[in-house]
Amino acid sequence: MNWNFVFSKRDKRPMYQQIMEQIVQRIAVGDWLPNAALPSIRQLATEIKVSVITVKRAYLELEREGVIVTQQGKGSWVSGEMDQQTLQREELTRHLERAGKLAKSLGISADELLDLLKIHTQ
Amino acid sequence: MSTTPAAVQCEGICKRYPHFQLQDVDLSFDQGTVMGLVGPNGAGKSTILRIIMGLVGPDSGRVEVLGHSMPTDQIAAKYEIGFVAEDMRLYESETIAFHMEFMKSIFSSWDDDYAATLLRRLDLIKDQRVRGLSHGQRVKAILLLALAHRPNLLVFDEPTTGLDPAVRKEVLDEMMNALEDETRSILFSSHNTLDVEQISDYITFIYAGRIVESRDKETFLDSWRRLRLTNANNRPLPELPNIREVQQSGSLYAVTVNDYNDAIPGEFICAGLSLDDVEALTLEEIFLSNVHHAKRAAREEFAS
Amino acid sequence: MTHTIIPQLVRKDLLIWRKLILIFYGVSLATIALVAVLYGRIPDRALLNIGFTLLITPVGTLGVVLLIQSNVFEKAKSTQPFIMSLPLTVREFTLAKLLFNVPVFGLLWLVTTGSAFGFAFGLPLLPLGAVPLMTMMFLGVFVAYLYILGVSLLSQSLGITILGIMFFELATSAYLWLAAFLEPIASNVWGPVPVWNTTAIGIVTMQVLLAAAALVGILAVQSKKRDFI
Repeated sequence: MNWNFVFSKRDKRPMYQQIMEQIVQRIAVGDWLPNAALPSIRQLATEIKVSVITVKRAYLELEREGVIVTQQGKGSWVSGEMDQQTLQREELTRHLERAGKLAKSLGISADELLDLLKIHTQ
Repeated sequence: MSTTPAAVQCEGICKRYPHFQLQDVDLSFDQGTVMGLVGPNGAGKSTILRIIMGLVGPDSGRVEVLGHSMPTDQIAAKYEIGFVAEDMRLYESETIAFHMEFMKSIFSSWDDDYAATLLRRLDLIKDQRVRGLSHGQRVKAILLLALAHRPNLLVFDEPTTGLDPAVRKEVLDEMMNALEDETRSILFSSHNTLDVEQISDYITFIYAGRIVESRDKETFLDSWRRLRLTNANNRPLPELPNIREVQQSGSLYAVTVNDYNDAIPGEFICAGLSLDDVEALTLEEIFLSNVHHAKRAAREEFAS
Repeated sequence: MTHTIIPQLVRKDLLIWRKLILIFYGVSLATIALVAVLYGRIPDRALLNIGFTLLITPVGTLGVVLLIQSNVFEKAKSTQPFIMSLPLTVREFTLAKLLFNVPVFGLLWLVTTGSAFGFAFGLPLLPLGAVPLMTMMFLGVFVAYLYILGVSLLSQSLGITILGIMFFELATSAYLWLAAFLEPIASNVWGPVPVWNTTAIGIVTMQVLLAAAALVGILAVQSKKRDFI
């Protein structure tokens, strides 16, 4: 099988995040359906020529986010509850998380952040 | 044996040369994984690989490869190893086919189909003489010879040095293809940090004959960050042992830290600086920072 | 070790250098034929001198060229890391080199020596009293070859090997010259029968022992090497 993940060398994010993004995209557009089996970590790693440990990390993070389900020794599947909307919500949560972290490091309080957010949702 | 032996296990290797010495090198990784050695030229990467191959005997220390003790059991070990080194050449007057026949006569594990596949994928003509090959073709021919007897361990010394981007990709691709078999392991050295960052599961950083860091790649990359800070009031930086490098331009600071954790940005904010960004580092940047730090440490040691 | 790849290594060197070997064997046979043709056409005394040079040159050159190509250039041309990555030890590497070089040289040396003896005592060009000295001369060539081979294997350096060639050639000449002047040898050279007195037997025995010592010494020293690439 050919999964053809295309990475941009100009992308500055760590490789595991880029792999996560590519997987989430495939699920979001419906190429990978809920409950469908994912390639094994080693299969995907040798296919996309990225180390096993990096693919493993991407899978772990995706599992933590509930995008995929992994059973020891059996492999991984796209989560059954996964639909486009939930995925988009996940995406939003990720952005909010980053915004929250950044705000904290900039010393911006939660209320201030909320106000800023309101400006952008109007 | 009930447990699988490590792909490579080195303990306390020392080797003294007139102008260089390896000191207390511990290195080990499991079968099925990829270990990348990084370090500047002359750091000792090749010497370590040669000791692991049994070609150089250490002054002290213990080396085991796939459960075989080196160099005493080197014959049994080398049946299971595919070795590629940058300074390795084939017989100029002979063809690639000659070398393939020679390898086949030695290794009962030689796989004709795989060899034919590799010839095709690597665009090699087997009746071509080695003398007429380009550098890239020579490296690919050596790679084919090392892979086609299906060794359990690949030991590659600077496999991508001097290759154009297309051939470099072919070599890396074949290295990763070999890993489809989950017991197969790779140990390779490179000063091309991109290669190491892409395919390694573990990274060992070597400087001046010593191991500076050796851990899994994700932890390795994750433990380094660069903080971009604005120091408007010219406050002193917090005294953190994690700080490896400080670059300053007016009130703008870029601080590189090792052993990063989420509490570190707070330390700078408490010190009165404002945090603009926290960036992950590439292996290349970590490499440079490590070398810079090691050089400075050596200078300070020399001065005192 | 039950598995050894020494036969494959010897075969590999034979294949790589087969053209060179065949050329030198051809040249050797041609010189033997030339000596036979020259007999009766030039004075015997002249044939004796020319013939010796004609016979010994191709075999000596083959030996030296082959040991430089197969031993010194293995390292100089960096094929050694390739060979040493194969399942073998330094000891086996060395044994394979000996088993390639010595028989290829040895066979031609035997043919040459046989022809020389045939010409010298069959035609005849020399009285039978010269048999012991001729034996020492041709054995001397073989012994010198083994020591030069040893130097090439132990040093794998072109410079040192060339120095070795000069040293052992001079040493062999000097030694044979001395032998020829020893009274028990010199007094019988022009005699009608070969005289194997204790001096002659002693010298030949010593040559055989020196040859054996060279082979044992090469293996012993090589097996002790810990860094080999």
